[in-house]
Order: sequence, then C-alpha cells, then structure tokens
Amino acid sequence: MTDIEIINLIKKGDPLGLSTAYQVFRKEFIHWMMRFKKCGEEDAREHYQAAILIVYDNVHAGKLDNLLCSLKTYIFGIGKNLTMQQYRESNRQNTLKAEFFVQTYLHEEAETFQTDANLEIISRSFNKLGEPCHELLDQYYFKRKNMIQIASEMGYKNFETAKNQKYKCMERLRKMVFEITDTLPAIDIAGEFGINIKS
Amino acid sequence: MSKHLNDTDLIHRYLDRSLTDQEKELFEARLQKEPALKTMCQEHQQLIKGIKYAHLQDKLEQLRTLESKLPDLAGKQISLNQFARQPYWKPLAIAASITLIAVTLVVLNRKEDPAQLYAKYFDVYPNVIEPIDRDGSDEISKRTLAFQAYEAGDYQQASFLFNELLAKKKEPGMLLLQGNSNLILGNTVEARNNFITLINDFDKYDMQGKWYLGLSYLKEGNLKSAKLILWELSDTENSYAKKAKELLKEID
Repeated sequence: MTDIEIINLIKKGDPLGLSTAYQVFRKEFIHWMMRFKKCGEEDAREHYQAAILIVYDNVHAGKLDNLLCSLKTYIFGIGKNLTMQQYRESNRQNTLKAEFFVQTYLHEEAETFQTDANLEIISRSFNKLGEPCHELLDQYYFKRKNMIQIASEMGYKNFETAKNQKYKCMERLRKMVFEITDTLPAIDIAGEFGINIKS
Repeated sequence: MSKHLNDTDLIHRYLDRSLTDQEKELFEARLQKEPALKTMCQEHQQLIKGIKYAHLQDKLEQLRTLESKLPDLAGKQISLNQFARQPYWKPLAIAASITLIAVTLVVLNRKEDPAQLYAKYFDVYPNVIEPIDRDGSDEISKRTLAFQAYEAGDYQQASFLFNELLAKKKEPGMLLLQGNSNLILGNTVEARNNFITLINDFDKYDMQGKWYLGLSYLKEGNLKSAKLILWELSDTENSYAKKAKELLKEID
C-alpha cells in the first residue's frame, strides 16, 4: 500500500488506514527510537503510539494533503520532536505515556491562552454526551467537516439548524464539565504524570 | 439576540476563525477588557481540546489492542559480523533464496477468484437484532417494517427503510443489517461505509463488522485490504477468528 493510499484511508475513516500505518512502520521506528534515545522497548512504543496518533490528527487537519516527504520520514520526524519534548519536561528516567505526548501536542496545536486543562474530565464528559451531540461535535472538531457537510450527512434541515444544534451540544458539554468541577482547574501536566521538573 | 447568545456566537466564530479581520480585532480588544468573556473563550477552547483528546484516546486504545495482538519485536539484533561467523549460514542462505524464488513463482501464477471466495463465505447476518413479534397488532412502525422486510428477504425495501431510520439515529445493529442489505444489493461501497461506521463508532457487533468489511473488500477484488482486516480478526478469540483463518488460507 502506498503512502497516499494509507493517508486516504485514514481520511475516509477506514480503520484499515490507521491499522496499516501502525503495522508498517512499527518495528523500524521502535528499534530506531531505542537506539536514538537509548531507552527500553516500552518507552519507544509509547513514543510510537503518540507519533502515529499525531499523524492521524494531522491527516484529518489536512496537513498531509501535499506531503513533500515520505510518510515514514514524517512519522520519524514527529518521533524526534517528541523526544525533545520529553527532555524539556521531565526526568529522563521516567517512561512517559502516549497520553502525555498527545495532551502536550493538543495544547501546543491550539495556541491556547493557558497550557493547562483537565482534558481527562472533558473527554469523559464528552463520551457521556450521547447522540447526536457526540457525533456532531466529533465530525466538526475532529474530522474538521464543515456545517454544510454535517447538515447533509446527519439529516439536518439546513446549515443553520446544524449550527444551532452544535451550539446546544457545546453548552450541554460545558454544563456537564461544570457539574464535575466548579471551574476547569489548571492542572500541572507534569504533576499529573508524577514527573519531577528540573528547576 | 441576547448579549450572552451573541457572545457565544462570537466565541464560536472566533475559534472557528470565521470572523472578518475587523470583527476579530474588535473581539480581541474585548477579550483584553472583559475577564468574563475571556474566561468563556478559554473554557470553550478547552472543551474543543477535550473533544479532540476523547477521539485520540479512543484511537490510542485501538492501537494498544492491536499492539497486544502483534508479534513481539525481535530481541537483540545481531550484527552482520556475528551472522557471517556462523559456519552453516551459506548453504542455509542459498536454500532460503531458492525457496523464496519458488514461492514467489507459485504466488504470481496462482489464480485468485475473490468473487467465488466471497460467494462461498458470505452468509447474510440473521435478524437477531430485533426479532419480529408477530402479535397480530395492526399498528406497525417504520422500524418494524424495516426489520420485517429484512427477515422476508426484501433487501431493497429494508435498505430504503434502514436508510431513513439511520439518518435520524445511528444504531450498531441496524448498521450491520444495512451493510448486509447493501452487500446483497451490490452496493458494495455503501456496505463498506456502513461497516466502517459500525466499527468506528460502536463496540457492539465489532467482530461482525470486521468480518463483513473483509468480505466487502473481497467482493471488490481488493485482496490486500481483505487480508489485512481478516488477519486482524483471526488473531481474536471468537467464532469469527476461525472463519477468518479459513478464508485467509484459501486466499493464500
């Protein structure tokens, strides 16, 4: 399967895309990461899973539409960036989980006002939202479909109806999160993962 | 529009990057002066991150499940020098090369008939989702009509009704039967999309979804993709794993 075929499968939401990408580069990446970072297999695997997920998100964001290098080069490049992140943030002896890298990636990608957010709480609340909110918000914010596409695919009368439903869904999610926390707490990412930041 | 609704609309449009340059400038000026608005905007931004994170967490779980089924990575890699020092490596290497050439020739010359394999292995999934209760009642809902049509083998009617019902609310069982209907009707692309949605969005009927997705690829003649999904299925522990292994043997 070519790089473009894998990317197109991921874009279409075919599970074969992510599964193929993961298997094709797995062995080489993990062995390379173990040599590059002088780390164990578990550590390398966490980096690999995070790198694949970041690529997956970038595909949906359209960032690989005009890829000038090979997919392998792209994934390895992300892997290298992840190791830089770890050196900046943590004690090198700790194995950081893929979740840490994904959360850090989301904070950087969003150009946020502040870098801390309780993503776990929001994620759990989002998964409890139910339909059609769960699908609508996933299609809009993750798959980056526009409201016209969503209105057509989800059977809304028109773009305005879909947009209003989106507003209602976001408000429902916001209220759910506020039931758990009074405000969205600022949680130190490093602290949450038990990492000592060097002063 | 109330001020709150107007601000909500502005926040959505600001974060979606759909404000004009002038609107954006005015809004950013307000963010500096109105702490409450800034907080609302930050909360909204965090919610968006949380939504993306939820999706990626779900994919991470899938990757971890896949990882647990993959073979172990080779242990310590021996160097070329170590490999060359083995006394018996040369004849083994020659034998391996000959075998590889022979196997390649067989593989290239074999005749695959995906359509025949598909016909042999496809069995329409029975309606165990919503068995029809024939109580003689006169009132029949669209939903009941859809399942009745499916049971009666009227897949055209079933597909039409399932389509309407799924447009309002996606359900895993219905997606599975709709996919089956589409396969029988020859709408392979639609069938594939039904199974992909089923696998992506639900846990229920996940194995069935993968099995029929594999059959969809087979029907299209896409052996490579069929094999990949069947291989994934064969490594599970359920009745579909056995079927997938048998089918993979026949494909190979």
